[in-house]
Amino acid sequence: MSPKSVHDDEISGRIFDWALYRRFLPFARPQLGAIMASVVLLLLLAVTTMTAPLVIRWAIDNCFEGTRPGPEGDNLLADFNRFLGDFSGLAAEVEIDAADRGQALGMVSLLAVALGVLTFVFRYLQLFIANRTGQRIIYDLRRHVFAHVETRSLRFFDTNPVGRLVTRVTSDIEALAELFTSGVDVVFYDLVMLGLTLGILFGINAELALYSLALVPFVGAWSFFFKREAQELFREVRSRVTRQNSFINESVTGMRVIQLFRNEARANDRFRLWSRELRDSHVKTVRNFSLFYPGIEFFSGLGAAVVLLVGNGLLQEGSLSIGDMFAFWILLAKFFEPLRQISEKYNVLQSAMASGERIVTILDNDLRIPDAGNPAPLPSRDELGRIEFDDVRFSYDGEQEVLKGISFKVAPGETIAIVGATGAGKSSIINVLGRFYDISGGSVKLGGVDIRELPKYELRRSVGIVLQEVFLFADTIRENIRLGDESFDDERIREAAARVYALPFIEKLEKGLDHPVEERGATFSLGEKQLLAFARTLAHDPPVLVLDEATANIDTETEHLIQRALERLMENRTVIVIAHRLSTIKRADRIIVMHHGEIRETGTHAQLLAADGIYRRLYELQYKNQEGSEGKSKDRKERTA
Amino acid sequence: MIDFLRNPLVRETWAPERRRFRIALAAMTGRGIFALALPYLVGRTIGAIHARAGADEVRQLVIVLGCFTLLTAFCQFWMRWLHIRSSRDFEARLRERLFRHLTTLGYGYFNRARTGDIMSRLTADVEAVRMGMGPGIMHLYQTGTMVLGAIVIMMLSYWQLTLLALLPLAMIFLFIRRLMPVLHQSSLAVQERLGSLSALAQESFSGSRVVKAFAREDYEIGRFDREASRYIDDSMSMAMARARMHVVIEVMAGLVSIAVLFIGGRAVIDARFDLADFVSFFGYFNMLIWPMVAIGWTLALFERAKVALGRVETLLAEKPAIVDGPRRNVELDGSWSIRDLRFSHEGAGKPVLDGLDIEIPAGRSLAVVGPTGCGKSTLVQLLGRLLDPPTGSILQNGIDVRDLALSDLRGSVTMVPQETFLFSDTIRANIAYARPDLAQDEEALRRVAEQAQVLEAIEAMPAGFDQLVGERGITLSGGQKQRIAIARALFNPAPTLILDDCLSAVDTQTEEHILEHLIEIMKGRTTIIVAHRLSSVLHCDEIVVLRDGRISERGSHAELLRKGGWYADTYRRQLIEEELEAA
Repeated sequence: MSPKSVHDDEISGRIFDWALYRRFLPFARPQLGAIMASVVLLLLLAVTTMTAPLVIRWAIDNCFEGTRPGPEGDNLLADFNRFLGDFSGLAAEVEIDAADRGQALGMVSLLAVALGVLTFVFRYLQLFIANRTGQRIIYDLRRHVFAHVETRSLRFFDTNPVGRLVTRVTSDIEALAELFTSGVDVVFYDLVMLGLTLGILFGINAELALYSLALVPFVGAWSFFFKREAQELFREVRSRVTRQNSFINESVTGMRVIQLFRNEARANDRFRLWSRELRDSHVKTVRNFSLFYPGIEFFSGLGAAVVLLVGNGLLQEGSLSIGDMFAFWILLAKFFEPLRQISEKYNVLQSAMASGERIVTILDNDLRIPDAGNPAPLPSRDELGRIEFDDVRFSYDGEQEVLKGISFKVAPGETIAIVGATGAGKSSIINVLGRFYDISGGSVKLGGVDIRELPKYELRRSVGIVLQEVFLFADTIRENIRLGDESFDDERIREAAARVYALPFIEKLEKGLDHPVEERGATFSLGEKQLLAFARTLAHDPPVLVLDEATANIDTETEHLIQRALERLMENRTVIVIAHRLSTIKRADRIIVMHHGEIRETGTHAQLLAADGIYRRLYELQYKNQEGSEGKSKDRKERTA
Repeated sequence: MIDFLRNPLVRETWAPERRRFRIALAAMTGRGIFALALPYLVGRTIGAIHARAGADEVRQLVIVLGCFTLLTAFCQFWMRWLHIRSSRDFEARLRERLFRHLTTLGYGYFNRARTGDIMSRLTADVEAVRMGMGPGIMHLYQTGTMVLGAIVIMMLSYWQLTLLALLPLAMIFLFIRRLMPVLHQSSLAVQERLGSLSALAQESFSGSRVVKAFAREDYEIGRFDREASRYIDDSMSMAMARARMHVVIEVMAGLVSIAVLFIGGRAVIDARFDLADFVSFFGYFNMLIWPMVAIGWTLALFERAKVALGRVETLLAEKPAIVDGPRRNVELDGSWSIRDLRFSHEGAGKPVLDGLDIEIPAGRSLAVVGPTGCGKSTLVQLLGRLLDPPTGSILQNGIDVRDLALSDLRGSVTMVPQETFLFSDTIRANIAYARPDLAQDEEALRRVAEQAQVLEAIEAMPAGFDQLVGERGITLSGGQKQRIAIARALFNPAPTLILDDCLSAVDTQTEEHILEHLIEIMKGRTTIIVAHRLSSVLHCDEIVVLRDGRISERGSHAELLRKGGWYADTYRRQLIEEELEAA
């Protein structure tokens, strides 16, 4: 493994990255009310939770002991004690006997039940609001990130592997979500609880509080030390898990090579090494936690011992009651809990921040085809067919030019065939014309207007593109044809499908237009996919059609259908076709021969054959053997045309 | 749970941990016992304080309490450290065993099984089994002893109150038992939703061209939006189910505490119950609440572990399809006979190869050409027994390849497979893959790299032969990968060299250079070349043309040209192609 290669999943987030918080703040803003409500509920919850030990304290002192009245004072705690006395009726009595104390205990128990129910309500409401708020924020965020990615240009998709982008809108958002669902508010609650506990401990007895809190620095140091270690180990484990898993993955994919070269034993050795190293990291983590948890438990036990020991002295002096001691005991346990929680949240928050950073990197990417600032009005349907390429230069990587000064003109209604060997630059013409990429020199005009000045989406809707590889979405046939345009009714869809001969096979499907297409249309043949793509394009009825004919072998019957469908598709449109079929080429008004990014020859089939240049060789190589099978019918058609 | 622990695979893999486990078990028991002493000691201390017993007695009690706390912590450390560590060892052993098993499985299995499934057997499922053996056993045993001990002690102290307190706790336990599977199901459902959400994103991003071509970005965003909102709904209901569980537990526990306080308190007031006993009782009661939850959780852990174990066992039950032959250490020199070879793939009716007869004397070369799908690659895979040929149809040195030890047979063959696969390792390790012991032999490395026309490219890389490739290193072009795969095959001095259409991603010029070296490489070993471009087979001693699994033409290059069949036609077309390329 190379230490130099920095992987973006190794970003370690900084917890206090305010710039990052600011980026995500706008997503929280619409939920401000809910967030406030959640905060208020948390405060109420903290209060009701904290009241329970105080009730027990009072009950022990006043009911069990009968040592009433407790220490007088004018702080909140004393007020609360007075309230409990009044509430239970104990304060009014002069002579306190066992029966009265029993009754008073009943009263405060009822009060405790009421508090319990209240806690239940607050807790449930709070969880509901917090979860819903968190989910909504995540939802907005996810949608925003997805929309951002979706609207980037193809150049962006060229440089960002799909897998990485998918991770951004799924697991990274999930990790970031932790920040909202269980991160920030839990930390807030824990801080409030810490504060309240401290207040009460000092309120009851400052001296005892000081003694028992003397342990806190030790607990803090202990936690800090182990948490830091745990964090390091966490990272180590993660990177070793990744290494082990990618080794498994690689071995499974390359098992044939492993077996061919008799490398099974070595692969096993290597795997054992990765597996053992991962185990060692795990074991280090185990040791870490094995020390940490008992340590914390020991410290809280020690705390209890201090309370008993020091408390006994104070009790003998009369400045502390048994109830006070009880309250201390319960509260100290409560005090260590949030301390532990907060440090446990640290990892969660950290990975949330790391995800946040990765998401921001995507959000900061502005690779998109800019829409015309002040777009020219779209030329009329007829005019759009007037296509001009003027000295067009284009390169994918900014180094190697794939179009080296292409110039040609197409008249409305004309059909132009582009032919050339692989890598001649044919498909780049499509990319440039649909403005999937912007050119680096020259101009492309539709109806006399530079395409960079036309509204981007309108332009793309006007230029219908049928690619070799048909991409079908895992949705119904209907959606695959109308692609979400609700204005298409079934009649229009059927009509389009019927015109390109796709309807018969669609209707043979069990659910017709509602038939679910599997991922990438796995259940359809190549020919059927082509016909579906034709139907899709025909339904959208673009004035300009750009077609990349499929080269793959299709059975003769479907091939025949496709040719007829193509004719229908090309009717009444300006067509640029990257041709692989002789019939298509012959039907074209003009043929442009591309070679190494340049236009080398133009003319009709007969003219170019006579010229005995590149076209003639291409013809011999690719088209000549098509003459036999399809020549006859097509020739007849040509003569009649 | 019992059958999970009795499972032979689990027992066998756990066996080396037995000694450590005995100590861990003692630590768990110790922890239970010492922890059970704590509430009693606290009660006694409070009692002493309450009775104004004097500082000395209180101090003594507190010291005892401190010692027991220390002992508890000590046992807790040892039980975790020993047992959880054992579970990690167990996990590693189980996973290594699965991996070892994978390396014995045939090509058929890997064709059938999905990589993702295999991955989750080795990762998630093994982890689930570990969770059962590690934290599962530890928590169950340790909380089990604590719960039983606490109940006994409480019963002895105030049995009526104990029964009253236990009833709601038992309800909590049953509630958790019932809710755990539901929660697990709903978390699986959420996982699945996330899966389809990511499938949708995957599809939309891969189809970005179509999306843009039809200006349908908004539609895609809408689709994603709907799925995302369904996902949110599902996660919300899961979160709320979880919330209900926690809240119910908390409230039940809270209400029972109040009841204990009230009833126990009444008994104290009426002097039927000592304050010290009450404090202890209350302590024991508190000890019970979380174990009740934990046991529910632990049992669910075992259920998951059992299911995962079932899947792991299914993988282990997968038999290697291709097994060693009985004859070991046979000297193989690369003379092959293929006799009436017929072969059809599993489940496919039509034979891929339909009666081939070919003799290849040692040191000679054979070319196999023909249109796509004619059976060329199948033939090659049968030679190296990546697929199993019928008995008696493929022989080397006159011995049926099925009778040879796999390692002997495969050691006699070095191959460049059709799909180039390199490991994410250094170029050096990839080329010296067959002979890692010679990885430092610069001269040999350079020689084969030169022969494969990749030396220059390697030397241009930042780290030369030590350059990492693949996932964590640099990305190679298809042609570079193919040439490194050729170098890898050439590095292996086996008597038979098989090139399975290995020049498809290499440009014509490089191909020519490689072919120049090929003549030299072919010297002294049997060479079998499968090719699309006929220029690579000109010099072979015999060329066979396969069509639909049968030999349609055979002979030398000159003979085949004279015959004027498929070979001659294809050769002519490829010449024009080259001409065009140069234009």
